[in-house]
Amino acid sequence: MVNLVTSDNESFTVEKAVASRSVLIKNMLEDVGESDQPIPLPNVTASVLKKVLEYCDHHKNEPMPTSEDLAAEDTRKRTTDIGEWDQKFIQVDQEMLFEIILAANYLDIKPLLDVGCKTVANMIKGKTPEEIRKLFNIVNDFTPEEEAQIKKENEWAEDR
Amino acid sequence: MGLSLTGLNEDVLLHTISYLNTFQSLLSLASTCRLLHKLVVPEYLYKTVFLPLSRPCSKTEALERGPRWLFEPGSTVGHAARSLTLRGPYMLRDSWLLPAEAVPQAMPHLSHIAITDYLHSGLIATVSEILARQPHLISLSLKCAFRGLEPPPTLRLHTFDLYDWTSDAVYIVGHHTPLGVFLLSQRQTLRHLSLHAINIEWELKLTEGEELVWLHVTELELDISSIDPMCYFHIAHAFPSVQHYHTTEPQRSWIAQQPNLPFIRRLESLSGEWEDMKHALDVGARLRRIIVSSSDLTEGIDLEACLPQSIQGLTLTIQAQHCQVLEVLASAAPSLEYLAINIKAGWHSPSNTQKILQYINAVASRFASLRYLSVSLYWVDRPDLTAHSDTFTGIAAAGSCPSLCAISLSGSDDRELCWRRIFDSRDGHGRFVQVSEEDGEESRKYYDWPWVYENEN
Repeated sequence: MVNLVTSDNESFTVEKAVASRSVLIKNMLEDVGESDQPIPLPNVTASVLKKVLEYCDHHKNEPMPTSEDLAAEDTRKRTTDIGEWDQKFIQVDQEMLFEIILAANYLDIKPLLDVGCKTVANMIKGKTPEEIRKLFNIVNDFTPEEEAQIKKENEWAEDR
Repeated sequence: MGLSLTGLNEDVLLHTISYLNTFQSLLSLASTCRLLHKLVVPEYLYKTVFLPLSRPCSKTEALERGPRWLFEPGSTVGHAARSLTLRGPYMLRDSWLLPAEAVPQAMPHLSHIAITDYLHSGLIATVSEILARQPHLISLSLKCAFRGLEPPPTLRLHTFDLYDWTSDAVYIVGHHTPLGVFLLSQRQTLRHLSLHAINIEWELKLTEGEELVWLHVTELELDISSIDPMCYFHIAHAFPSVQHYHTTEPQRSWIAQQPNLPFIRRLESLSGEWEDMKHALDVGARLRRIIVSSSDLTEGIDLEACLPQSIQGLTLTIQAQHCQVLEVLASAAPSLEYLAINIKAGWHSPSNTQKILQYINAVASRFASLRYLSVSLYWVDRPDLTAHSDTFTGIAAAGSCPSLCAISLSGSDDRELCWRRIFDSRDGHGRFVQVSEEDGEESRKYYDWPWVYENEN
């Protein structure tokens, strides 16, 4: 078993196979060897780690992506398809979604990072700039001249 | 205030942006604020430059100036462009002809060029000139008359796709013709080779001291005149890695010759007629994908004999009045994941769109693992397809085909309606939401040929 301690000082004891879905934790475990010492995760709160561990537990028996897989993915056309369980798992409020993405990035859990980023991409698809601003609470900091320039630059592609 | 999209770090934002494949979504995101504009525009927005003239364009000022505008100094487009697509069908105006001398400098990272349906006497000379100056190109697709094309042998293409259905020009692929010399120079790099024209004559043959082998070609379409037996050219030897092949009438007897049987046995995907499928299975091919677009499925065709039980992808064409033949499809191909059905109906056909779609629904519900369903309707009383959306999305509501992930429906006007299933609660079968045509196309490619897609690099 592995003991993980969050930024808000909560402690989680999980199977090694579950914790090792995180490449960061897996490398730490390999570096320190067998030890009862808790692993501090100063960038992750308890509520987020609980969600992340739910994901890791569900996927604990799947093969880890190899470095060849990751290298090939960069050159491949990307699909935003997400599996059924993952889609239901990631149905959380926006703040939690972004927290999960940041935690997956920090803990180096590539498949979870992909699920989070694909979910955000799917939320963006098909929307107008104003709809995206409203959805994500983005402040329009363009001047009217800059907005006109962007529109002019892309007129040629408008009817695609 | 809590964490927001713009509060994510740059790496994570770029990773998210990399999943946006359509220009409109990227442009919308880039137009929201300065930060996202800075991240989207330089690397992503103009990665794929797509210039269609096939639809009426209201923004004539930019278009009248033609693509030359894209190559002017200071244009934000050029540096990001990886793929350039020009699509007709139109007579190309002089102002639209690409400035051959400016393309390499303005688009230094261009790796894909596709030109479809353009007619202009200077086009092929210009393309040849661009190719001579674009050493990083890996994909060239020309769907127009390509007489005079002289691609330089110094290129290292992965994809070479030529399709001329507009002229009866004779193209000779020989040891001393530009096309032949070019193909010989691409033996170490080509992965996808496709040659379609009424009169392509293949004269390449084994000569002493020269190894006539394209080792890495996995997808091959040679829609050419039959190959003279005196050529001593055996496809099985020349293309040892082919997984997908497209066969046509002139080659039917050629492909049945004994020395070519090992080639057929190795295939995983075959495009042709039903008798070709039967022949391939009879000689031992283990096909995972079958594409029959040119001949109709009729009652006289024994699906059990033409479809292996393990088949995953199937494209077929059928007359509306013969739709009942599809009833046996689920038992003949129980592992099917991808199904594309082209349905043809005459003006006086008793079947209407609603009935056809309900029937297809019933057929789909018999499959246990179907993931993608595509239906194309030809000549069916010019249906307003959007009016039939509910018929299709009803599949999900009924939960009758829980494995289905994506659906597309297209009519005679080439417009496509696409849906994907989403799960926005923890229970139930999810629901289908409409997605853009470009996103639907993305799904289609994936489900149609996933094992190649997964290995592509």
